[in-house]
Amino acid sequence: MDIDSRFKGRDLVSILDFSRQEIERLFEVADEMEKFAKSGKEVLKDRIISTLFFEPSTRTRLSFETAMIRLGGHVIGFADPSMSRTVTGETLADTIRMVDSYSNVIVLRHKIEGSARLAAEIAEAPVINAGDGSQHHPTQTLTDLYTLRREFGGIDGLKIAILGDLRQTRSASSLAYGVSLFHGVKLYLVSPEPLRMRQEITDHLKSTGVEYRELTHVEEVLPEVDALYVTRLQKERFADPQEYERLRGSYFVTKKMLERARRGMIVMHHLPRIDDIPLEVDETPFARYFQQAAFGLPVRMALLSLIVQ
Amino acid sequence: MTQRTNKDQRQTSKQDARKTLIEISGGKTPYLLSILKDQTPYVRATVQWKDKDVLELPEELSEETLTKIKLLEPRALIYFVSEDGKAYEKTGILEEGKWIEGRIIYCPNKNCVTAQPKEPTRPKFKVVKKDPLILQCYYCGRYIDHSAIVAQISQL
Ligand SMILES: [Zn+2]
Repeated sequence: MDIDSRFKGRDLVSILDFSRQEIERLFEVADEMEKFAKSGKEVLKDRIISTLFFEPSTRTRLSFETAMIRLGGHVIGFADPSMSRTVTGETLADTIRMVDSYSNVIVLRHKIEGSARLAAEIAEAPVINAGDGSQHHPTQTLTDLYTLRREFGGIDGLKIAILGDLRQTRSASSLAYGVSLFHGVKLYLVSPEPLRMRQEITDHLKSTGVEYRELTHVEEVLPEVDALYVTRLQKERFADPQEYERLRGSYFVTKKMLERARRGMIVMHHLPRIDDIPLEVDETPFARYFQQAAFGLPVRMALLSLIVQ
Repeated sequence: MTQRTNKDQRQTSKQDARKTLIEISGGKTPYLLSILKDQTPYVRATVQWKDKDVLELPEELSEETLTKIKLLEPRALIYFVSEDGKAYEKTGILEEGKWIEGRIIYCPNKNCVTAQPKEPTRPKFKVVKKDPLILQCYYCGRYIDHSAIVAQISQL
């Protein structure tokens, strides 16, 4: 079967739903879509995307909606959780059934874990998980992997440090799953002890042969890494505020800290940043988070063009 | 029990013909009895052997009950004794990589879609490890360790 036809009608709940080969094909299509990110390419004329954001995420939603409009399609949905609450006097299952009857693809963001899996079981139309719970955010990961590939020509063998709250941040877990599809990636998982990556994910890394090391301070590995993936450390996650104050210095990436980074290293962030990357870093040669965010559009255009019938 | 022949007369008791034997470490017996509460009146004998209890039940147990017993104590040994008196061990109830489906246990993650009372989900878990037992929820991906499983099952 030709590889493009394998995508038609497929759900994307976890990044592991795709094979490496499929991800590489999607990236080839994304390369092409970069040309059309501003002008558009009407391959999904009259198709409808439903964006159901039960949890707010302006960035992800706008990226999906722009992607659909650039492909010539239409957008319905809701972005405001208070609006969704009025919808959800009914169950998620019923909302999905209703929306399924007039959508060609459904994008779902929900704080309840596993809701995208349930939606995918119910809907005829393909369901794309735009983030549920603390483990999965596959389109963020596709964007992250695409950024790494654009920067380094490939993903195999890269050394990547993921920094911050690795227990709750779905982009971090999802990226760890994503790199397990490639060869020889080394991960440095940098977090405070109580916010270590969940065992579900580190077990997956072990079983797929991904070398990883857990540590608390990024400074010691900074000279080695190709990419520093920053996630935000939230004060609320700490039982002891003093512990937070003691550790925060290691989790805010400063220009000074980056003096130890090797040439060609890139700093990534899924955005929005709050104070975890100060403005001074923007002007360094390491900053790549704005390009990374921009790649979200061609990547989502590629995904939609491949899976929507 | 309809196909009785004269051969059965050699057995000590006709009612003993088909039965289940469960060999379990002594400390787990009260939990086991809580799972078997519907059948408890029929538990015929509890034989103590070293630190083990051997329970005898006068019938074959359902897959669901067998699964619960193994979830409670993965090292428990379960034997079926057929009408001709031959005992064979019931294996393959819990195997790594196998899925457990149905309303046998529930995901303790309150943020899991299976914990939302109105959503039409059916609990489904993968056996990640047998000893010590770890299950993984199909929906939220969270691990459930053995102590959480025991706490849940023995409350039922
Ligand atoms: Zn669950």
